[in-house]
Amino acid sequence: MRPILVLIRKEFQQILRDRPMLVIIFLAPLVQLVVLAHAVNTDVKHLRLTVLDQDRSSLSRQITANLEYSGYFDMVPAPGSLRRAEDQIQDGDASLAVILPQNFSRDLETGRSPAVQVLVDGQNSNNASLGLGYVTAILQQTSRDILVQRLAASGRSANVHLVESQTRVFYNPNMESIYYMIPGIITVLLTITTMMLTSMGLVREKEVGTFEQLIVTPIRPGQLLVGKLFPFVVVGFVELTIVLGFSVLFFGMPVAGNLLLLALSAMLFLMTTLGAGLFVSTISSTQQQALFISWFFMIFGLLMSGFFYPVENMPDWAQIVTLANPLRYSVSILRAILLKGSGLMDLHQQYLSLATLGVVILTVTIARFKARVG
Amino acid sequence: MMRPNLLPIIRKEFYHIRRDPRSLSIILVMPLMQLLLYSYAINMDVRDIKLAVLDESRTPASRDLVRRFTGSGYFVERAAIASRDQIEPLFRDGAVKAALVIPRDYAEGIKTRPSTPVQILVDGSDSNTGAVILNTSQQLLAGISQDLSFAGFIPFQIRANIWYNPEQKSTYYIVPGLTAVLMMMICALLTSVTIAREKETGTMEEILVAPVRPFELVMGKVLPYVGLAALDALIILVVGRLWFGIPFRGSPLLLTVFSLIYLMTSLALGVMISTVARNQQIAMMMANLLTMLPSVLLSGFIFPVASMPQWLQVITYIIPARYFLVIIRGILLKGNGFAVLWPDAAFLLILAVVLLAASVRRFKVRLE
Repeated sequence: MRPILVLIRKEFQQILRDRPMLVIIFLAPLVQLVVLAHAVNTDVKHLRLTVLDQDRSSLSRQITANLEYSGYFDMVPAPGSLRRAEDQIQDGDASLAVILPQNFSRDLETGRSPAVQVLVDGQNSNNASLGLGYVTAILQQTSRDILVQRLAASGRSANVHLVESQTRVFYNPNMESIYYMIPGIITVLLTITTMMLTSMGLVREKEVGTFEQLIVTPIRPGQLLVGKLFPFVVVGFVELTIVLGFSVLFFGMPVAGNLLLLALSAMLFLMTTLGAGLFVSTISSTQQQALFISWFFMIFGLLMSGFFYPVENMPDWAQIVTLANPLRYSVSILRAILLKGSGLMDLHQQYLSLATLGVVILTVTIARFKARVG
Repeated sequence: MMRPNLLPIIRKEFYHIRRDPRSLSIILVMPLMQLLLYSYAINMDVRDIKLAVLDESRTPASRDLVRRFTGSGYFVERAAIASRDQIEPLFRDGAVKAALVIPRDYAEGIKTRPSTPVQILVDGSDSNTGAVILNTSQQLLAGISQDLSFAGFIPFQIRANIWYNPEQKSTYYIVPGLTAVLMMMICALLTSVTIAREKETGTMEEILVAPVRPFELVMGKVLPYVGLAALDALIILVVGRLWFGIPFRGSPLLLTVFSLIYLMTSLALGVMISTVARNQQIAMMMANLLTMLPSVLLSGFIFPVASMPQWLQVITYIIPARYFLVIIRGILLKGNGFAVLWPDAAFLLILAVVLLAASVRRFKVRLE
């Protein structure tokens, strides 16, 4: 037991004496959190919209006003011609252009069903479809109001039957994407620290030669492992606390569920990342390799974790692959506990999967480690 | 004008690279894998949203309503429930993301009353899907209202014309950005680590004892990576074009020239970081913080800059990837030319020159 404690104390001393490392571990995540939390925003608002009103009637002005005050769009100065509107999209000044043709309101009155053209910058398909959806919804609303008025005017209101939605949003009433993203951000930060730094740190010891010095001491491989990894577990938890605390205090991150449950999932997650970091260190001979390989895993783990892109949207084979991705579980569990207050009953399957992954990774890694060291 | 000492250093660096087949294969393979991933696995569009249906009406009219939802392609019915209490547990374990509640008097209401409410319940923890749920359900209900009340008479039509990416493929949007990010990564991350490594292992001093100028040392270490990054970019673009059919509407020459400028800027950043970092771990973290994360998150690659708060948008003005993204998307997807893109390229060039000059000077100062 004593060798482990001694080793742990040495590791802590090393960490605490390394000022730049401390900054990296404690300050950088906060900076990253603040930047990420503000940048990582999937709310489709501030779409730049330009309206070419070739009709200039009170109706067309009404439509323009409805679009402007909907809150979804930033209005771009109106173009004078269709050509100019097209240029605005080509140059990137506008993402959407609504063209209200000449004689629009007259054709409307006489029942000739004029066509409103909407030009969409389709590069980002998500923004394009949502943006088009908003424009369509506002135009449809206006259309309906016109019809209702007209029917009322001709005394046929009784024919109007509308189906309207009453909506209720659970858990995140304003649907702020930041709360959806913070669990992913926490996962990323933890992964960077506990996987990338761990692997690089262990390889550095190999490169510098202090690793061999350790092996020569009467410490057993198992004890060596525990001693080396334990400080990183602590660091991981400290980082989790700092980042989560900051999110709650400064971003108003809700905490609907049980923090102990969250700590348990963090523990299981750290098992997997530390195991992975250790594994990477056994297959790398230089720090650069360790950096690259863990970077490689991390990027893919991140892309397929549900952080940016929902897992449900992926093809079946991809969804199966994500079952072996610890980041997927971390993101999903954190979201469920923090935002929905989900409990162990709801999440037990994910916990089991995460624990299994951790055990598998650690077993394989420890076996490899012992084989190389022993 | 090739200085005599530049070539040996370039050669030495190539030896280092060649001796590390693992890193090399990752550099060459990763872009391809990301390309494959983005094309086949990742889907930005939200479809097949899991829906719970509570149909208290159970009439042909209500079934028609449900069919409209599921037939739209946006929703998939995962649970037919009998009471409202069942909804929240389904949300909590993620089995459904939305619930549709049709009141008992739905069928009579739509025939006799001016307005009949239908409840849409949304799991707000997923804000992106939530927005799509709200938007789509309102459109679907509007469609029903339209048919009920106005029997096919449409005051005006909406004709949408989607430019640049009519089939709405995520690849078209992502691949240019991917190229930008990868180039930044190889140039900045690798460069910063490689110079820091020489410092850390002490071989830096050995090199400097040789009659090598700091400028030659820096350029010599860095140029091989420019080559690698360019190779990577070429791979992605060629595969993207030939296999995935990503358009290339602009001038390849323009793209090449502007890409080289971007590469210069990226490696200037990498060199700058390496003059500040003491060892590889620190170099990596700094490169991560100052180049990778901003390039991925703040450049407009995934998340739109316009949605960010003002202070953050100001910061994005000094992120090279932001300008290059405009350039590469402009050339590939929009067919933009020099006239539109020169300001972005000019900025990159200025940034590159400033950073390189500063880091070479810093380098000299630190060594003497």
